Amino acid sequence: MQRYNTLFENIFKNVGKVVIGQEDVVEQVVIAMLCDANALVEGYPGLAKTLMVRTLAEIMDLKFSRIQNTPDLMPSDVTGTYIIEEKHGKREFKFQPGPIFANIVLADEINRATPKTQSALLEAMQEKQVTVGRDTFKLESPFFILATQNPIEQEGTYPLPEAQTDRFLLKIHIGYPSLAEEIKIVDEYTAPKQNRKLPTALTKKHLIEMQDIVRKIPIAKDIKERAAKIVAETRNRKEIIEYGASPRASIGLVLAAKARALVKGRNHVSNEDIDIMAFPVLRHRIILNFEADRKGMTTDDAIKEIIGKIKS
Amino acid sequence: MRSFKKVVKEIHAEIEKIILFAAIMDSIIIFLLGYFILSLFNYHPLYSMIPAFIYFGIMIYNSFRVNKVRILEMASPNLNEKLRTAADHAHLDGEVVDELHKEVVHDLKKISAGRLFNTQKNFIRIFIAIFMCFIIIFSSSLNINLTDYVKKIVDSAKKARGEQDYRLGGDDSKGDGGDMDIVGTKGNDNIFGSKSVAKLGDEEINVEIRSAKYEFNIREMDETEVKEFKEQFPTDITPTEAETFRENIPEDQMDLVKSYFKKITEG
Repeated sequence: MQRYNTLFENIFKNVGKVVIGQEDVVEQVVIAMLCDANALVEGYPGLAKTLMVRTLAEIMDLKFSRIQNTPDLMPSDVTGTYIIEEKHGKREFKFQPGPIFANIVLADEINRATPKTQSALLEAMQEKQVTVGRDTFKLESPFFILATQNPIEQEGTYPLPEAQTDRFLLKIHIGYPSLAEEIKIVDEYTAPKQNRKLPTALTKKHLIEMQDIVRKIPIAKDIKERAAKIVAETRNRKEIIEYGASPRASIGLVLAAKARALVKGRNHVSNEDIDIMAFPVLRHRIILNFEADRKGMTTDDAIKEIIGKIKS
Repeated sequence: MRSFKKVVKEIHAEIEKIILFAAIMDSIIIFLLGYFILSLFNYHPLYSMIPAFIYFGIMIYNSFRVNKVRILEMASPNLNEKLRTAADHAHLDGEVVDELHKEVVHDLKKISAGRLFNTQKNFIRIFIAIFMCFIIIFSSSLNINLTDYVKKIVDSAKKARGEQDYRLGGDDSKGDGGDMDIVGTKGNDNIFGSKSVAKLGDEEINVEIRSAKYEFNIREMDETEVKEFKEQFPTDITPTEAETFRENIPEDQMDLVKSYFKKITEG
């Protein structure tokens, strides 16, 4: 298992050459990819979200595409559409794939798209396929959507319903870099441009193999029980939580913990994996009540409280 | 993986032995402690086997319920979470699980059985058991009985609180003319009852039992006086000669009787 740790250390090191700081975010994005799931990134503009995903795609030799969501974006703009093509004097309909046909799709500001377009994206996320007209097209594996949303400027947006956010395995918070990191970013991007080519550290085939290995990582019964208890507790803490997480969160928590174990080069899941992954897995799956809001609690505070209560 | 199942069994067996040893030692200490305390208060010391057996039973019951793998993990932190995961998946095969089993077996080889055996705790247990044995032997040679001391303490505590000892016929006895009174009951319980008139035939007689006009304390008893008695047989009592039994048979019939008994003896 140590070889996987070396491999991921190498990936993080190479991403770190382009994206300064944000190590936790990069790790969580990789975890979501290893789980063959999707992630929702919440952060302010200009925090290198696109750069990070593009760099990861480059390192992993994956096809990358970006969809900038706007209110006038149509589902066909995402999925693709039929165009008329003239062939041998005959006019035929030919399917023109949209940007969804890639391995890594960055759906920027997903909450700006209309619910109709959002559902087209979410269908692709869930089913790994798109339906245009009467035809269904399978998406190439691995397929991973990284959707972003801005925590400010809620005007003119279509916030994702809770049922749809539940389909994202992780909700990753991307914060501002530290002062030292910011100075390093400034130095890096104000220096003369270098045509830097990053080495390919992982192929599509290896990524798919690793997605399979993640599911094979064993987890102790008591650690699994603890993960389920943490999720169940979100439903029982009525004094601060109005709506708790679904059993899908339990599946996600254990799977994400397994992926983290692989990233760390361990052949077993530890309680630390559960504790760390509980935040991105649960934060978009629970809704705090008015009392918790009044106290100024965040979902992360509630999760921290629950983790503290359900000790290993 | 068969070999790992065997490893898990061995772990369980080793830890059970250690738990059993600790349970036996603790039960012995409880027995000795109980033995000592009961012997001080003049109770049968073998009653202390009851709590010792109860404790032993509880410990054995708990040893079945305790997670032995956790105990081993606590003894070697590098196996933390790894060992229990491997144990939970001992029956499974697979690339990752096999690697985990190999890693755990490799780590287990580095752990000596002595690490599971808490030497300091067990040394203390053995020391306490030996110490208790000496205490019991020493106390039995001194024949200490704390019951008397406790009673004395209780009495003196009562005296200090102004209560008096049980006495008969004290100054504060009430009732008419020498009724025996139990002190402390304030003369209400007159064990002799009221003065009464007895009848002897047609003649009425007055019977009065006089109470002793002195105090005595049943707790303050002296040693009994040993009296020596001389063996003196009274001289005026002598055995007399026994009279022979004579039957009143007429002389003329004596021969007849003689011949009758003679015939009987011959027959």
